[in-house]
Amino acid sequence: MMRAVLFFLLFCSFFLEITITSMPLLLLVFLFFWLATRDPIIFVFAFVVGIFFDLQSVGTIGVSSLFFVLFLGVIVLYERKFEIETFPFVFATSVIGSCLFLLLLGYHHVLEQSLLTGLIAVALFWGLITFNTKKTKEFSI
Amino acid sequence: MHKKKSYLPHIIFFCLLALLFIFLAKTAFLKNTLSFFSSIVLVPQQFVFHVSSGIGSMMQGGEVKKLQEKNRALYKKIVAQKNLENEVKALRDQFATTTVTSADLLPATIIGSPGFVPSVTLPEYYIIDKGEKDEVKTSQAVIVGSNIVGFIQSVTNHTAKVQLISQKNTSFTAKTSATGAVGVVTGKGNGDIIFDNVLLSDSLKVSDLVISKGDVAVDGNGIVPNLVIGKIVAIDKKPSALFQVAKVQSLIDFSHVSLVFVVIPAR
Repeated sequence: MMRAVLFFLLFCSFFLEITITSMPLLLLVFLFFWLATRDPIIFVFAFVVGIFFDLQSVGTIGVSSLFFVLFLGVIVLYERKFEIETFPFVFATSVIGSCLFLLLLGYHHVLEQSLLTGLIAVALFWGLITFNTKKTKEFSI
Repeated sequence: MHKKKSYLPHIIFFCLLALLFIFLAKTAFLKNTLSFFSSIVLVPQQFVFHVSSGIGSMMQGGEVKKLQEKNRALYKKIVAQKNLENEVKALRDQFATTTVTSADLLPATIIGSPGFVPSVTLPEYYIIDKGEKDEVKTSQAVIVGSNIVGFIQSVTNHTAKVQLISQKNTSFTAKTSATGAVGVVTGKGNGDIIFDNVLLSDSLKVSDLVISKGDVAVDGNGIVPNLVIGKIVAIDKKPSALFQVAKVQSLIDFSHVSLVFVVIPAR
């Protein structure tokens, strides 16, 4: 169920980001995909979606893929030493990641977009925790 | 004790693969292969953009009806019709304009215009549905009516990216239509355009139109003369400064453009 939702979000984010919004929604989806599944298949998605993103936004092919993989890489390496399923981590990662991605692509309103992305990330993380808690309760009953 | 799995090989492998793509992106084989996949994604991209821009324009005009949203099939029909009307209107306006006569105009539909808040903030760039196959090349001017909106920044086989004149790093020569003062138009980002490097001895007037001076390369690509950039809204003239500067406002609302024209050099 969770995977289906994440794939749907990935699909929507991709089309929204290449057509109407410059907010880095794909980064958020990759972050949540990792938090929810811990499946290394996400590296394949990050790479492929990055290639398609560059292709459809007529950018340098491979740049977004490299950024997405490095972004996930940093999270994975950080996880080996520290706790990542916390609100401060989710907020900080999404804000810093968005900021760097927007600067890389040379977009405007970097600070506003990064902060908004951070707030969306916190809201989604809260949703994810609530969903998981409900699921655990159902199983224990 | 639970040992955490190492994903370092995954990270290194995909990073190297991405770097390989960056270096090989210009090769013909990769370009053609990726172009095939791009053409597949193009159809849903056009659909998403048309639906979202349809929603945006309907909300802008205050014509949103809850009943229309409920009836999905009818809604799609309305959006399609609206796009067609805009296209016909733009085509009629464009071909009635006499400024660009020596060049061929290629109508192109915008299929992507990402911005912070869609239809509210200015888009970062446009993606149009015409590419190398339609003879679109980098640095060709993109216009609406007699107004320049930007120029081609990069091209793929089926699509092209348009850099707007208000974007940073945009710079080309221009002159005022009434006084003939020559200067350089520079984009400052967020919709701000300035007319810089104008000699203090030259005269600038508020509301005077700033037009392109002409910057065409040997191959015919570039900005043709007399395209309207915008009107002067403020002038900054200091006797101690080397040049005078004017703030220019484009006559085009970049966030509500759906059809543009690429100026292709006459064959």
